[in-house]
Amino acid sequence: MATVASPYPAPAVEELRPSGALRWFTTVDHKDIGILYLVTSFGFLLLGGLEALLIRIQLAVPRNTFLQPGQYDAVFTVHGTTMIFLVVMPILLGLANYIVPLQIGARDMAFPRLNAFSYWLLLFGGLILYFSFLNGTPPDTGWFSYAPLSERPFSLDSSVDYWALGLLVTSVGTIATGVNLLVTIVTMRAPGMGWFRLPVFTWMSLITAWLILAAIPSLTAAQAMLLIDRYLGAHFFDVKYGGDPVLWQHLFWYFGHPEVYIMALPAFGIISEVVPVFARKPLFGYGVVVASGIAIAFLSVTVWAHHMFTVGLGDVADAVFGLSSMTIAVPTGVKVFSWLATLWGGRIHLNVAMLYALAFLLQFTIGGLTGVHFATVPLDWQTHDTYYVVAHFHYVLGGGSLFAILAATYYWFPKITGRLLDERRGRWIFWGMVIGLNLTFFPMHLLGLRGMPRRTYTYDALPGWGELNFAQTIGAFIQAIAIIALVWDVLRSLRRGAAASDNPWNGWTLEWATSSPPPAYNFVALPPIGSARPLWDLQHNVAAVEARPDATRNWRAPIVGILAFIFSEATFFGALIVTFLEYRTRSTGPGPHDLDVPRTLIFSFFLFASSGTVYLAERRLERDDGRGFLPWWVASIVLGATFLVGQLTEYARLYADGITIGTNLFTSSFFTLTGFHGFHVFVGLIALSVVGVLARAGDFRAGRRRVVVDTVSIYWHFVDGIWVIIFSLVYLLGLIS
Amino acid sequence: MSHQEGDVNREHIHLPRPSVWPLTVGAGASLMAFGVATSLALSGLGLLLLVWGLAGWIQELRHG
Repeated sequence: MATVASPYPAPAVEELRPSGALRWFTTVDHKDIGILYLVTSFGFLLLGGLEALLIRIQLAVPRNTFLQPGQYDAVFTVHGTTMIFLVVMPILLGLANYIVPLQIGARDMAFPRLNAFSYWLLLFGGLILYFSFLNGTPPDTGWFSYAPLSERPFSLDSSVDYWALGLLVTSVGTIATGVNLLVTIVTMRAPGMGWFRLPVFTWMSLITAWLILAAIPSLTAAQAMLLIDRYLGAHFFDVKYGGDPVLWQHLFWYFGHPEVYIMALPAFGIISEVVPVFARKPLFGYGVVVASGIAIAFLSVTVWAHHMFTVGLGDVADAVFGLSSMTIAVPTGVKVFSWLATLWGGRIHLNVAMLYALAFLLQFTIGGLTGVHFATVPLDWQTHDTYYVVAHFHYVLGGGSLFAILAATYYWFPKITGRLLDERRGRWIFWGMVIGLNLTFFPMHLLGLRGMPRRTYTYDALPGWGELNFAQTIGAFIQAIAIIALVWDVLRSLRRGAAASDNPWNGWTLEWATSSPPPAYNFVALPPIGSARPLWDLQHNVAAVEARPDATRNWRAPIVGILAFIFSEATFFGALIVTFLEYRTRSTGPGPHDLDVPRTLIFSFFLFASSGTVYLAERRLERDDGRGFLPWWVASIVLGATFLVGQLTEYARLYADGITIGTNLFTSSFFTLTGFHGFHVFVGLIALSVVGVLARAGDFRAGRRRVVVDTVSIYWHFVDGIWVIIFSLVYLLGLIS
Repeated sequence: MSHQEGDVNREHIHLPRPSVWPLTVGAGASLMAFGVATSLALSGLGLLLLVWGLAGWIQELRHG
């Protein structure tokens, strides 16, 4: 956010926050949006928690009939979907929304309106998912929605559609948040805040943003294919036509395992903030903690098939993915040792935030160690789809991410609200959470090793099963009571909690350098930033070391944003291209030989030429030659539209020959891949047209808003560039083979 | 507390005004998706909302 005088009248500070409900519907302030994320996600946590209680009541005793099998399937499906997509991930993104701009000394996120848009997509996506209950068709195919169960013949009603459409909507918002966070951290750091002066929570948020862009589009592509199967009669996952359900698993887990780290890395960031502050020691091995976070992110996109060892991928694949999955334990272990070394010799303050951080260390490590078991193929074969898996991921997400979130709640609540949470009640709640969590999830290890399968609505009265399950149900209710007590305590503290000072914990990062809660503009001024702990430096009169020149701070936000978006698009198209290559020759009937290569080549030249004309238009604008700009820009629109018309006539010819999207696997993947590319061309044409209209209105005179033209140009070059790959693989490869 | 050079004063703070367009565009896009499972008429309504919201968003960016 620019902090120089604006040619436009700056709104008075009061104007930035309208009073009443209107504030929350129109806000673009990162702090308000962070609060909206937190409140909304907490609402969904109560729903997801209620579903967990229903599961536990059903499983409390053998042969229980509290829920019918179909109801049980729906409840565990929506519980998993809710907790992952509507609770843990958005709470962490909400915290990042609130805290990251403060930690880097910025006034807001790079794109405040996009930030609000992302939030609304989270809320509406969640409402679409839950509308399925009102409609009487809640999804019941598991949070992973494995094919072919999710295909139309096996799920005739709209249940899967609500699941896929709701998550598509939230995923678009999440990707937009990923772009926004990444651009904010790259371009909006305060003067002096070099890369190795970033607070660790901000570092982890940056890495998480990258991981969101790398992973979530794979799920988006898979869900698009599933919906195309269900609505347009394609066969991506339809076994009757040779479709491959294992492909769904690959695409889903390519997203699904990095998703674990999307939920874990910000938690690591929280712990890296809380532990040093309450041990009164700098984080041990700051650089190693950051580097291990980067290593985890890169490794996390190479381990997905450890979720699929029982599929029968073959010894080589099992060995490769087993090895990579074990490797990821190394940087994770490095972090644990860094936190332990930070505690060693520290003056430890055992307040509630620190208690949760310490509990995180123990519980997350248990979940991490059982995770290594799943990297060991024979062990995985024995425990796959048993309660051992459920125990593992609840220790990672409950004892890990949730405890970190609770640590963050107690740590940052004073900053967000200006009030302190009650420490005495907080300790009772803490012990309720620790006892409840372990009582709920530890017995699952034992039941899993005894062979109790997950996702079944009841069980026989085998020795010990009933007792262990009953204990788990008690544990779940203890957790529920603790969460309700926390809600009550939060509400009470908002009204009557002790007032918090600006820096109640004597923290060292910039969020503690402003008032509690911060004003709309965050800071009037910033302290000198000479390290990752500017407030510690200030207290100890440490002279700020001059930061090395950092060119990245001067990068233009929209350019970084469009490049980040293109990175996510590359993942999306990558998923579609891999699918096409897998399916292009798998079925009989129409195939690559039915495509009209020369004709498409001619139309492709129109598209390639449009990149050239866009370049020429940009050069004219550089010389402030507005009259020369428009003809080249309009030529680009005409050339792009000609390509699109060419593609449509190709489709018309194929349909006239009886070759449709539902003909076979080749046509399913061909029409989907080229169709999505065509859609991108269409969106690009709209963007080019808008820029053209604005140029005609004189918006870009004298170098004003050049970045808009540059951003749209980069997107257009991407659309052209990806067509080179698609044309080569779809049309030219067909000629060769 | 000492502060670094280039401290800003409140008169020079420039932040975007509250905006209804992100909500409008988000509602439009979500309605389009919701309509796929319920009624394509809702998708059409969502598209109209989306276009209207984007137009408002662009105008706001131009004048803000």
